Amino acid sequence: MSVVAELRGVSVELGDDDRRVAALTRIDLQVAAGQILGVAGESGAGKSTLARTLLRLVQPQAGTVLLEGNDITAQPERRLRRLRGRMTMTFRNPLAVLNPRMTVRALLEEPLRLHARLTAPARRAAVEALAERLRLRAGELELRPAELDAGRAQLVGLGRAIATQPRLLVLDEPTCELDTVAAAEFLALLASLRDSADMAIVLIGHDITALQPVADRIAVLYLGEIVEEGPTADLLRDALHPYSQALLSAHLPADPTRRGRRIRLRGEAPTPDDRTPGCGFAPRCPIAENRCRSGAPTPNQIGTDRRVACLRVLEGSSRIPLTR
Amino acid sequence: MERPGRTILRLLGIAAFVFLVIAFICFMLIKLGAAPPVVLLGGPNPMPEERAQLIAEYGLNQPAVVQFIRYVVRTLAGEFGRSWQTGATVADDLLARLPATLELMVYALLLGALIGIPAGVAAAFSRGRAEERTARGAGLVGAAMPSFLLALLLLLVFFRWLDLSPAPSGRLSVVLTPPPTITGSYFIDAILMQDAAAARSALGQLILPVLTLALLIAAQLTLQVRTAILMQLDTAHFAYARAQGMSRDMLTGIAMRGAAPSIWAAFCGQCAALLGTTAVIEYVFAWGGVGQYGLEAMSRGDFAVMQAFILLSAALSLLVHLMHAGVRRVARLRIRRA
Ligand code: SF4
Repeated sequence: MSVVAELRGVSVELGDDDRRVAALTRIDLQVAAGQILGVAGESGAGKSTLARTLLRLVQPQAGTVLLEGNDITAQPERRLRRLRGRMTMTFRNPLAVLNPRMTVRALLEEPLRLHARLTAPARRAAVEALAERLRLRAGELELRPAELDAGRAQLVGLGRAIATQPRLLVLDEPTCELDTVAAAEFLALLASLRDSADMAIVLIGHDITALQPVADRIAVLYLGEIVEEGPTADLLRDALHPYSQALLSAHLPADPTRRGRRIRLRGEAPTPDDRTPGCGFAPRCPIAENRCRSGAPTPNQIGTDRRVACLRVLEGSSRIPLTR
Repeated sequence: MERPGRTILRLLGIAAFVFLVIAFICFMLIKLGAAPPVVLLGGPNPMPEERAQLIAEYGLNQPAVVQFIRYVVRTLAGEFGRSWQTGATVADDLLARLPATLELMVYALLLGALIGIPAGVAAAFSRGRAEERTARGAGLVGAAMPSFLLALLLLLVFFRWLDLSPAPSGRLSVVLTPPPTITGSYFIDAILMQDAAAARSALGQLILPVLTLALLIAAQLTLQVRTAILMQLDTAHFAYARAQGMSRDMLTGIAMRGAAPSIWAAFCGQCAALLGTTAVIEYVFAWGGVGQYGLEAMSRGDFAVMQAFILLSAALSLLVHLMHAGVRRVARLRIRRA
């Protein structure tokens, strides 16, 4: 498997000179061709920043961003522009970003105009082929964004993102505005794309349920740090970080095979402003100990391809007891 | 849904109200003034017949309410009384001086926008880099600089030290005769009359005062435009355009389009605030415009002129508001139709 996109020790701060907040801290992440990496986390965890950093829409303060093995951390905007056909993105709310004056046909054609040297007939043919892949309905190519519902608009957003046959595709909460049926359809399409297009896909979602059907691996983000990352099946069966456990218990309440009760987290979802020394999750962690408030945990390798950033994981005591 | 013209009507209503309030304040200034009304309106030593005439004209021996109504009616008819300094009617004085002021303001606004808007855009686009800090620092210094100080500094450098600009002695070299009034701008009129010497002199006289005003405008515009564009850069819409790999020019266009209402508002704000600054600059450069006329009246207590000047400033900001609302209205209609 060839790694397409990679972050190495990436830290990102956002804001002006007057007020800087750490949005991402020492992120290590890899995603390979033919793979879907899911990223889960609450709002404010840094998901969107992570998406934008992968595409170098954001300049990290530390670390390295790689695309197909090339360091693009310090590339000037002019150079990056030429790569933008190879790494693409969809946004949370497609209706807010699609140009309302363009038809779906024109919207799908635009990336090709920007990045592919095609003759007009070739471009038209490419758009038709794309429409077919997206399973667009007859006549839909002539509509404008205002005439589409959120699901169809997100599909157009996806079409724009894959028009140039990118190597890396990042989807920022693509299903959050969609109803269940549209969301399922969208994810199914995504899975078929992974198998046919040989690209690396990063799928960002609010909760694990939205990722679980299609993601090969899942990374859990909390306060700008990856607290746990591993194969989807492992994570669902046996989440090791207390935060992942809480996320799962909150989102899979109706699963009869899961014993126990929901783990309720104390406190509000944090913002990067209330960072404390020590483990970022300590203020809300049900099994936090005193040492958690002084020493920050580093990611621990578990098995062959899992990592968990919790001080208690190596002793095997990071599972939240079911009865308290 | 807003009905067409509603905003304009509302603004006109506000205008009428503002006019009454200002008229009332002006009126009270005279009634409660430090000196008797006859002195405020007729100068320190009015002759007995002048005195009688003023009392009759303003109805100074009538009840206050009647005086106020008379005052409002006269003002609405464009009668602002006489200046005891020049002896002419204030209306005539204002009309004679208006072209000089307009000339200064129009050039300054154009030049200020030409510098300030691109500088603000460039500053926003170079966020976090040295260019931004430079533009922002220059903007802050310029925005905090008192207008007369900047004028004096420029005079010191370009007139005293470098001897590049003429003395601050009005709109034209004293040895030349002004061109006949066509547009009111000496420079343009001289060109139209093909009077090269007058045109050159008029231009030379214009440069420093226009530059002073333009720099002050540009400084504030830079800061305002920078903020407006920065807000656009943070929208999902803009991030999407960048992710698409659009060229720098396309991105600038997108940000400018999004920021256009704020930039337009900032520009209008500069227009509205301009008369006050222009007055100071006119004073420093002996420009002989409306602003200088108003300032001198204030310092000497020529009340008829002061009142007219206050009303003129109010009228100007109102006009700017109408311009602002009108353009926004048209722009919004265009967007809806597209
Ligand atoms: S390090 Fe401590 S506070 Fe942090 S998740 Fe593990 S047990 Fe909880």
